[in-house]
Formats: sequence, structure tokens, C-alpha cells
Amino acid sequence: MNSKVNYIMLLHAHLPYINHLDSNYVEENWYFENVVESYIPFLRMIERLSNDGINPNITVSLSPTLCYMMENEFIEKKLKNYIERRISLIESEISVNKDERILNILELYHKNAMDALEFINKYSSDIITPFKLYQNQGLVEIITTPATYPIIPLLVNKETIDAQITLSANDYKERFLKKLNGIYLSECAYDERVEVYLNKNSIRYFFVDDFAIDLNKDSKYTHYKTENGISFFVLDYDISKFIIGEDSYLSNPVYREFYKDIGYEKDIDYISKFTLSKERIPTGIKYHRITDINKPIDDKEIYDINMAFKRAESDSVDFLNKISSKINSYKTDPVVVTCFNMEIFGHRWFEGIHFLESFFRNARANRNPVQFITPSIYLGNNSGSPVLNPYLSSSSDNGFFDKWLNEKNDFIYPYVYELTKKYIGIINKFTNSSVNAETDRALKQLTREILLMQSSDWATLITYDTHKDYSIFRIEKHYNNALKIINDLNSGKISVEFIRKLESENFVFNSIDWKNFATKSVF
Amino acid sequence: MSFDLNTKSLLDENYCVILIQNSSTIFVFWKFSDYKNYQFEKGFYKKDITIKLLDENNNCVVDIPVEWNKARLYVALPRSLNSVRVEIYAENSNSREKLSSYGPLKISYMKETKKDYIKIK
Repeated sequence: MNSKVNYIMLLHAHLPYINHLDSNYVEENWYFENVVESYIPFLRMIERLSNDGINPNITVSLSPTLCYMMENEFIEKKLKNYIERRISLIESEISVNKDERILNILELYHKNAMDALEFINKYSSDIITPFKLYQNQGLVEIITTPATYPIIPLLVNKETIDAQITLSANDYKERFLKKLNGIYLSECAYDERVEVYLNKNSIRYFFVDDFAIDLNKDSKYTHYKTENGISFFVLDYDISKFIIGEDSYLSNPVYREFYKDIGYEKDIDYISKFTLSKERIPTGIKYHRITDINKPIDDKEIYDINMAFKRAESDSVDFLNKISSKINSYKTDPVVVTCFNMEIFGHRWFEGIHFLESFFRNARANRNPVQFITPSIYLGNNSGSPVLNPYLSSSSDNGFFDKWLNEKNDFIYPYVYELTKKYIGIINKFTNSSVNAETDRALKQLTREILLMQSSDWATLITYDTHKDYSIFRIEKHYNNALKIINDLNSGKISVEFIRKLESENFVFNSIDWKNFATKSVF
Repeated sequence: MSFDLNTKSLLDENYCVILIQNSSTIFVFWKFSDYKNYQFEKGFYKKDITIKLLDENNNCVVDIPVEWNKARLYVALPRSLNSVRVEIYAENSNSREKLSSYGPLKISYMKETKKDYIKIK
């Protein structure tokens, strides 16, 4: 019998790198929405818990592309402008609405938006700083993902697997001034080829979906080591499904309806003044509750804040009980591991941050056997673990890669393969010679363009037929940029102006030692 | 540029690549050098190439004829494979010529667990 059950909550935050200097793209709003609705409320929650002496020990994976957006001064200015426009829209809505129920909702939105504005003013719009601060205070453990969030098993060339892991590990050390302990492989997509690069960068652990193990044989533990000595944690879907399953807490009729937004309903000329977009896009201003998931979107009832927040509290108690019930499901020193996208909490699930906060407070108040722990703390206490090699797998619905490789998006892969091969060729060409500053800059930017093209987000969006044109535009853009640099390098005529323009827009990874990614004779 | 699988290769070489889509299907894509393309266009080879999949013991487990310029193919895998290698052959009236190969690629099969829920994205 176990007296406690360890719980690792991994919250994963990632967005593709989107930074346009020339014009506004609606896709930029993904970042702004998530900062206002998820990242800042999450950080505020950590602050409140800490003030009350509660350490949630949450593991947070921040993708490097998201971190670069969080640190980009140009994006920071746009973020501030976005929040101010949101506040103006809320104030405009307050001035035209008479319904007390709507005004209550607007009052909450106004408070949240003002809070976000105050927060970014406090940190000069740099969202990374509070994450760093809370990591240094031992409240969260921050890990990373592969550099631009590719699906590793779909990368053909080992040199780019190396680049995706090594650049990310180096970037983490520069940004957080700490050694990187763990990684969330994009979409838990595991391929044994990655392990040599995890070892190269002294990464101690990663996560896999339960597709990666045989649940009939290997379900008595959730923590294993591969033959190469790297630890991995298996996500527990018996628990996760209460938040990310079809019939999860999120579908409760009292929770706020995500898809009914005034951006889709009010007069477009009125909305455009605040969104600066001629397209109908979400504004974050929503007045209705789910009511009944089967009811049409026009047939929803007005949202009731109190009812929804009470429900979030009772769901958090239920979630805690579900984890406690796992106490004897695993052998010695059990650990339950879940991974949720951070964007679910607050953005997708409006009441999600309140749910999380209640969850941590309840565990503390009721002396629950659930012990919050990070992977590094767990591994520090548990040196021995069974050896097991995970299967090739991912966290997609069937455990494989159909989502990123299918008849809608498979045209991407020959282009990525050929360009990557050209890239490796040119890196090999320059690796044993001294290069001038211009060539070095060009090779660094070439690496950035190749990596940005490999991002799995483009394939995902094409599969779902959402923002498909933008995704193809991005793939083409990075492809053409990279090809021009390769041609310029081959001809010895590098356009510094072109490189400078790309650096100002597609600037990820400060330090790129491109020679590291030349073909090695032995691995 | 426009993304079209039939656009000219950047590499000017014969190549083929396998990507695993799922436990039962692989995606094979290929391109040929300018000279080989010219030979196919001029009828030096038959218009169909042969894609062969070989298991870990080098036994041919799948043998599929396909038009040379189709450039891609999803191939169903036999269940028992531990690794897969692909070879592409062209034929003319006198001989058969191996144009390209890729692999072996290790395939670790896993359970076919169907989750009873759909994840919220």
C-alpha cells in the first residue's frame, strides 16, 4: 500500500513563430489571445498560490518559437496595442448593453484585460521574465520542445534532428541560465533516433503517450528508462480524459461557450474598428454558456459567472479524487503524469484557471495524498526504474503520424527533404574552412529558415483546413528564402540586405553554431 | 513557385524516401535526375517503375508497378515487418535497373488501442 501518489502536471505551451513586419495577419492574434487569456492568468495564479504558501510544482514546457515571440520587442508593442483595443471594445460594449447579466460578464472581461495590461507594463511586455522568476523560486520547472516543433519521426535527415534538439537545448541554457533537464517532444512523437541527441545535450527525461508502451504488459509503472539511460514518463489518459476527452469537464452546460463570439455576430464595420481586420475573427468577448452541446450556436443561453465558477470548483475536487484513486494502481512510489496544452486553461476553457487554482488549494486544504512534484524532483528521489524502449508513437488520436502526413499535406515532405539535403550539403562545404562574417550570417539565417519550414504546425493546419493558405504561404516563404541563400552562397554573392531583412523578421535562435550540423562520419 | 509534386527536383539525382504514416501504411516519395527523367520521357524505359518493399531478411514483401512520374505512393505494410527497405526499379525491353533505394527503416509495432475519446485541440 502506498501512502501518497505523486502527480506531475505538465502544461505545454507552444505557438508557431509568427512575426510580420509589413502587415497585420490574423494569425498573429493567436499569440495575443493566449497571452491575455492563458499565460498571464496562469502566471497570476502561480503568484497567488505562492503568496499563500502553496507550491504547485507545475512542469511547464515552453517551445523556443513561443519564447522568441515572448521576447520580441516588435511583437510586444503589438501585444500592448491588442490589449488596449480589447479594452476599448469591452468599454464600447458596456456603453451599449443594458442587460445586467451581460454587464456582469463585461465587468469581468474588463477586469481581466486591465489586469493583463498592468502585468505587461510591470514586466515591459516580456512574458518570459515572470516564468524565469517562478522557476528560480522553485514554483515551476520549465522544459523545452524541439526547436521549431517538428514531428521528429517525419524528419528524414539526422542532422536536422540534431539541430532541432541541440539548438533548443542551447537556447534554453542561454534564456533560463540553467541546465536543461527535460524535453516535451513535439506531440510526444518519439523515434529512437532522437536519443543520441538527447544524450548529447544531457537531457535526462522526456514524455511519451501511452501508445508508446504495451499497456497489457507495462502498465505497472509510468516511469521507465530507455536502454540509453534516458528517463521517460508515460502520460496517463485515464486521468487526462477528464480534461481533454470528448465528455470532459469542459463540455458542462454551465461553462462558457467558446465558439459563440461577438466577432462573428456583430456588425463587421463596428467590430473591425477594434480588430483591425476585415475578416470575421474572434474577439474573446462571449456572452453565452454551452447550454447543450447539441444545440445550435444561435440557441445558447446567457452565461452565468457564479454558476460556472462554482462548477469549476466542484470539478477540481472531482479531478483531485480521480488522481488520489490511482494511489494503488502503480507499483512503488507511484507517479501519475498528465500533459495539457496551457492554452486550454483560460483561452479554450474560460474557467480553466479557476479550476487549476481550486485544484491546488483543495489538495493543500484537505491534506490529500496527492503530492505535486516535478520530473526532476521525482528523478532525484528515484534512481532505479525498469528499462523499456518505447515504440515509435505520438499523442495523436491513433498514436501515429496521419495528422501530419496525409493526402492533404504530403506535398510538403519532398520539398523539405530536398531543401534539407541541399542545406546539409552547403554546411558540409563550409564546415572545414574559415568563413567571413557575411557567410556566417547567411548560414545562420539559412538554418533558421530550414527549421521554421519544418514546424509541424503548417501540416496540422492544412490537415484541418484551417488557415491553410497562411500555412502554405509560410512553407513557400521559408523555402524560397532558404533557396535564395543557398544559391547566393554557391555563387559567392551574398545579399546582406536580404539577410538583414530576414533577420529582422524570422529571428529565432541567437546562437547558431551551424558547423555542429555538418554530416558526421560516425554516430 | 507553386507546390506541385511534379516540379523539378532540387537535387538532380535519383532518390526515394520512406516516411511512416501509421502501423499499416508507409508513404514513399521519389524523384529522378534530369537525365533519367529525359530517358523516361523518350521511352527508353517502360512508363511504369516497380516499387519493391523488402523485409529485414531482404525478402520482397510488396511489389507494385506505378507510373514513374507519380512521385509518391501510400503502401500498405504486411503486419509482420520489423523493418522495411524500399527499392525502385525501371525496366526496358532488355533489362531491369535499380534506380534508387532507401532504408532499412525500423518499424516498432505497438498495440492498436483505440481511444474512447477525441482529444480537444
